[in-house]
Amino acid sequence: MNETGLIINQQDLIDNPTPRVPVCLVLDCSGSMTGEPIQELRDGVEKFIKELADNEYAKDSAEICLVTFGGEARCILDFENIERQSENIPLFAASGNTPMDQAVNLALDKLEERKQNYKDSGVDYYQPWMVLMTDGQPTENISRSTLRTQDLVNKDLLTVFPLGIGNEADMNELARYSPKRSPLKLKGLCFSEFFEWLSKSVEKVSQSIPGDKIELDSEGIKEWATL
Amino acid sequence: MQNIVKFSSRIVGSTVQGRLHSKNNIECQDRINTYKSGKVVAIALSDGAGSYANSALGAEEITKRIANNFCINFFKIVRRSKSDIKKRVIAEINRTLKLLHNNHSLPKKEFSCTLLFVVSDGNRFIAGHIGDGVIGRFSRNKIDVLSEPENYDFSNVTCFITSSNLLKNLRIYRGSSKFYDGFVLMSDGSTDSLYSKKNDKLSKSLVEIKKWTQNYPIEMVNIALEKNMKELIRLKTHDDCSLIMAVKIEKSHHQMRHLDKDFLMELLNAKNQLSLKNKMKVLYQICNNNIQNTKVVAKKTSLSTSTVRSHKNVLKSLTNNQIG
Repeated sequence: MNETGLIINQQDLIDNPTPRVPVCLVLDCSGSMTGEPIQELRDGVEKFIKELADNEYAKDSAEICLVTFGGEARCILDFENIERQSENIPLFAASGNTPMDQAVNLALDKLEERKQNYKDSGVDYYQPWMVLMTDGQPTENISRSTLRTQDLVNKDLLTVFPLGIGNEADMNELARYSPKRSPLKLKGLCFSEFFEWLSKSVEKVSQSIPGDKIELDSEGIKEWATL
Repeated sequence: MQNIVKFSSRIVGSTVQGRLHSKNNIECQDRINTYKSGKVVAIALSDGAGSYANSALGAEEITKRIANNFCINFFKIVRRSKSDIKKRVIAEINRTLKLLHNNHSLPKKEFSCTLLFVVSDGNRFIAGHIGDGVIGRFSRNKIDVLSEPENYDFSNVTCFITSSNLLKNLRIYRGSSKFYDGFVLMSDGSTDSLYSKKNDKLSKSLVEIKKWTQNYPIEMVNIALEKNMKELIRLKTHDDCSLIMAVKIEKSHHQMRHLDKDFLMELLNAKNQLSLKNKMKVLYQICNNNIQNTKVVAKKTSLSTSTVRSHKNVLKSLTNNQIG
């Protein structure tokens, strides 16, 4: 490779882990999502994870956590390498009420836990993202989770995307989670378009370097959302 | 005079465009610069902020001005307190940003970039660091971290010369460099494969590059460095990669006789084989026989006094030894 004969021994180079982009999807799986909505949501999540796993830049960076809330809040897919995650995407069904406070608190706990894990292992990471999707009203007081979320967003420690599904979604309650940007409402059941946009945005973050401004594709948002 | 000839630091360095900038047809935003004044050598490196189209202008200007100013004024500055040195760096940054702002009619933020520099006369050093990247220092076959990257909470966040709180964000180091035989500056693209974030340790490859610098002509090392950066280091990052090092060379006359001829000619600034032979003769008398007197050296080497004087002048400018 080098006519001077001066070549670095590749084994002496250091393999720093790729900086991670942790994304937590907090998904409403309450009874009202039964039928086509839950099916579309499942297909969208599956497509999202598979697209990231196939992406040259995002596959080593993106890490997804799935928290569902329907009757109870559960973490059904914990942070891990996205390629491994794509091999075993859990199914989720719709049932029960809407414990949004529990779900968001669980998601924030999972993000904190993951960040600590990165720090302990010397892995760099980008600002975590939390996507909150709901088609209704929370069935519990959401004060604790909204305060925690607002605090993190205001300190630039978290990016939040609250997204309402259908006409029954309580956009005012969703707005409480998002001090910096208004919540969006999904056009019909455009889950697929939303997750495609999200996947491209995660790819963009995974390529960013210090000093980069992450410009999200606001034109692309119009394809799947209304304000 | 000792038997060891202490040469002024040699400098090698390279910048290569990152894969992402190459794909998007954006110029490399890393810059390196150097300045020498007598025995004092300055190296500086800067990584322009990705989101500002003109950040490379900031990187170019700040590395040039810091290297020049701190090299020329080294002996005045090195005696000052760290806080005084910090103020001087900040004043230079402010002058640079004002100049760029006036010349290009652009907001100062447009010239956002990191800054890493080391200035040394071989005995003492001053170093400064704003943002990410790493400053390392060599001690024979070892290398340790002098200044680590500042990335705060997130990978794509660091501070720049345009940051509001430079008093807090600028790190200044000062001390003896007698026991160190070199310094290296790297941008974050290079640190992706040359610095372990987990262990805060630097790669052995840097010691290898330092040894090249101590044994081969500078042009040859620069070519090799660029190739290695393009073909190995750049593949482990999306970012631009840059690296610059200043390396001391200390050799006995006996060791010098066994060096690569091209390298030795460059080291002694010899234009041809005869000049090299004569310089080695003069050096032998000064170094091994401790003879400083020009006439005596001329007699011992069978060279004319004017030839000896001329070689002594060249050797005096190339080494840190006492040559009378």
